[in-house]
Amino acid sequence: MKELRHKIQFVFFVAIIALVYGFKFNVEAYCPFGAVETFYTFIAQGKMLCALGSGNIFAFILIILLTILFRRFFCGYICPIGAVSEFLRTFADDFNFKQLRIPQKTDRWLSVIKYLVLILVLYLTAVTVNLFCRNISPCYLMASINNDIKFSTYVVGVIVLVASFLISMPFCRWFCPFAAVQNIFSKLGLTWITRDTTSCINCGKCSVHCPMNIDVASKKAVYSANCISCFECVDVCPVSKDTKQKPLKWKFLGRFNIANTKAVIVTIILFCVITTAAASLLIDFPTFAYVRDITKPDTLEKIELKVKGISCSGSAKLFTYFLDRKDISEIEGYLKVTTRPRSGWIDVALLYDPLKTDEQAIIEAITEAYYDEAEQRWRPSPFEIKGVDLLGP
Amino acid sequence: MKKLLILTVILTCCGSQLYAHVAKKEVNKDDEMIKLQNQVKQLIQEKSDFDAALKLYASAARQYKDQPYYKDQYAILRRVIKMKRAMEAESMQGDLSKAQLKRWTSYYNAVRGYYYDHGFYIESAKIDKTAVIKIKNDQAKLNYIETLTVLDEVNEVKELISEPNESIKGRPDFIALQSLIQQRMDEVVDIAHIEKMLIAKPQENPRAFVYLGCIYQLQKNQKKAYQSIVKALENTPPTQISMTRRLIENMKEFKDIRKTDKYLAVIKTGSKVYQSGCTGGSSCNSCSLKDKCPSNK
Repeated sequence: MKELRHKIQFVFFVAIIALVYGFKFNVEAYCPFGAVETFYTFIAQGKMLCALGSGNIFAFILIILLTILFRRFFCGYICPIGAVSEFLRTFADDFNFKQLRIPQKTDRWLSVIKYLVLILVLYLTAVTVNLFCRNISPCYLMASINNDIKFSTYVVGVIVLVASFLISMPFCRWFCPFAAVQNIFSKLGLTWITRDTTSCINCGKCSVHCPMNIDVASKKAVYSANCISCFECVDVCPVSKDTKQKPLKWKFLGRFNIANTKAVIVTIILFCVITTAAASLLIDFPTFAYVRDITKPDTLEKIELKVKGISCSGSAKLFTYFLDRKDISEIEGYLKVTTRPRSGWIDVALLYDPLKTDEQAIIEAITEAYYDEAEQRWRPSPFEIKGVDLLGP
Repeated sequence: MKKLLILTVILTCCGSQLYAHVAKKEVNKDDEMIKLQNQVKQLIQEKSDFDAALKLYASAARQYKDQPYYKDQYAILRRVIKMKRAMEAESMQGDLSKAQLKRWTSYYNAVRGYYYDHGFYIESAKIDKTAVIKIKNDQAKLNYIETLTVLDEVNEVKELISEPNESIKGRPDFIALQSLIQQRMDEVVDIAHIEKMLIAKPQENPRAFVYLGCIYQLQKNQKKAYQSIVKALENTPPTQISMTRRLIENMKEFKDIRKTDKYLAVIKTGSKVYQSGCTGGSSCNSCSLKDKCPSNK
């Protein structure tokens, strides 16, 4: 099981690196924690931060469903930080660097930190209206496509790397804010490891090998929210001479044995990846909304355009800056813009008062250059509208 | 496991190297850009033929679809022409209402910004002269003085600086221009006083350092002249630095040294002013425009 899990981790890790560095793909738009970070602004203002989008929401929903079913499965199989931590720990083992074992009591106290980090990240994200997590997330070291990594992120990254040599999955156990979110749902986990106390020989191998430092050997059933369903405990558990079976078993609701674990795991992962990708491509909903501060007109008309250049929340705001321009192409009477920022051609819907403006004026405001008086420079419009050739016929 | 880790590191390194290699492979088309810029300059400066210049940009934009520069220049020039025509139409109307004047001023600033950016000082002089009559404020007067100074229209500018308003008298940029004109007429100039004033707030009037440099050049103090050019460029925001370089190149005082190694080195001085620049892309966090971003206004 360990081998399969490491292979899955490796595939995800390489895929992320290849997507980021090879294809400049914005993997951050599929980070499940992104949905948590942007939850407040999406509910309060109708817009998601930076380049986050519906992919984050679908990934989050799936991961949470997965967590309810199989606890912190995401940490043990999909998360690149979990993968790097485990790679490094295994690497250290190969060089006979002994693992630093943290006492259970201390471990419990340290586990509280991740909840504090979660509160801090959510608070600062809501206050600054920016993805604060990027300043501290080692994940962003891998996912950034803009060479905008802060010094603090490097510091955290180095600390996590060094600590991962000495301790098993320290970031995942103590500091990861998404682990804190998952733990809330993981508590409701419908599957868990059971220990047959009569056939168990109390060898303690399960506790020693647990990467999350769960004391499996002292429990009848592992209800711990920290369980990542890695099955290392089951793997190392010796077969009982009496029952000819392992005392540790993975069960649904503690009753039903889950047979063919490997097939189940691979199926779940494929289902998650395909569903998230398909949902984010097929189910479209606006993740950026801007309502202009004007009295709502009696009559409203809608114009729908395919626009290129709105790749993030910032560029969507820049789009509204062009619409709000105070120059020769000033348009009065437009009320609302909704869109879904991402690369390529995207749908933009605008509500406007037909008595004050028309479609041609809106198109002109979007595509025409604008003089920025504050910076004393001309800004050509970075936006293109499908079917509108700026150069003319 | 160890093999997997090593493989990962190798793949990552190769991938990033490959990406860097591909990214560098952009064709340099600077020469063509300069050629086109010269053609446009000729059309606008010598013939005032804006439409022909616009057509040049349009055909270049169609030819080099992968070069956004031409399309951007086309879009800006088209806008400038539109604003210029709107200004001319409103100028015909005589006295403007407050709202009209506000709009006229904003068009004027935009069009003048374009002219200065491209070194079209003759065109700028035309609208500056109208602005003095229309806007009737110190800034308009100062703008006109500046353009006339760049064009070395001594007689016309002499009249303008002879009776300055009280509000304009103490402004360092006015004093620098006034002193340059006086120096050109071989009058005595208190250059130390001007320099002291400019150095106190260097980023407020970076262009005034250019005029200071001209005065030093006329006084045959080349070392100080170069130092002034450096100061001008260092204190100009990055988005305006090409405008300042163009201004320096157009000042008659520097005509004789334009090909010297020292001058060529000095003119390359970069800005030391922090200014945001839109990075675009998927990250708002990386955007240095974030704090000053007009989209946040």
